[in-house]
Amino acid sequence: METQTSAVQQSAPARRRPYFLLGTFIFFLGIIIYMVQFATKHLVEPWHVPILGTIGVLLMLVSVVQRPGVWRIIGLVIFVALAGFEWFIMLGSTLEPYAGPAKTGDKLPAFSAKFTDGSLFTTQSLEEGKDTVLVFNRGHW
Amino acid sequence: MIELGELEKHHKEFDDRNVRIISVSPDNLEDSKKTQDAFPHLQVVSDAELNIADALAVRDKKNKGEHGQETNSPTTILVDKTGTVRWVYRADRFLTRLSPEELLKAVDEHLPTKIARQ
Repeated sequence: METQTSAVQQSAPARRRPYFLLGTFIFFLGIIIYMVQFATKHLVEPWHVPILGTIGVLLMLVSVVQRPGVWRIIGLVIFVALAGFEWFIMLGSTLEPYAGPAKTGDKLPAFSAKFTDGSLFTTQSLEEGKDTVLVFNRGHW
Repeated sequence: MIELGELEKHHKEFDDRNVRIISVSPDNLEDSKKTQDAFPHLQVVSDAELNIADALAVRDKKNKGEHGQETNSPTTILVDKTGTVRWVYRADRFLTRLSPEELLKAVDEHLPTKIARQ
């Protein structure tokens, strides 16, 4: 009888341990996919990052419930915060609707900036006989 | 630079429509030159003083850039050869960008210039 109990106790950690590691792997998988997406210039919204992050955190939670421990709880709290941050970025990245002076059928108001060769880019530059796609970026990405 | 990379990759389809792509960002001249080198078929404008951003009200008042700097709300404006605005697009969130296919569709719809190769 004692031998059986001992055997169960010894084998239990081996069965439970992978949840936290698996959760960590899935959490980082979302971030890795996003990095690959960026590197390969694929234009897809990274909803998978917070979703995989949340799945990862839930697996870590299962691990903590099964085998509570100080380090596991600290790890869980950190990953919950990170997953929350991921959701914050995705849901909090909304933009205000455009309400500026660029209106269909109107000319653009006067402006001035420079092309990288130093030449001027102004409203007149847009009247040089070529249609233009004017793309405003955030810089760096 | 996901969006610019995709536009660079599809530059021929814009060339065929006799449409040029001008990218405006708040990057300084030095960074803009690097962007220009990376995407040689686009025309890159440095709007470090946010002169265009303010003139056209595209400055992002809600979110700052990755280093806390002032930046633009990603916005796309189609302007015809007379300088008249034909279409304005802004996504719901700054992580969203138009794909080249979506942009080409908008070009065909709102800038119905004959395709150059015809």
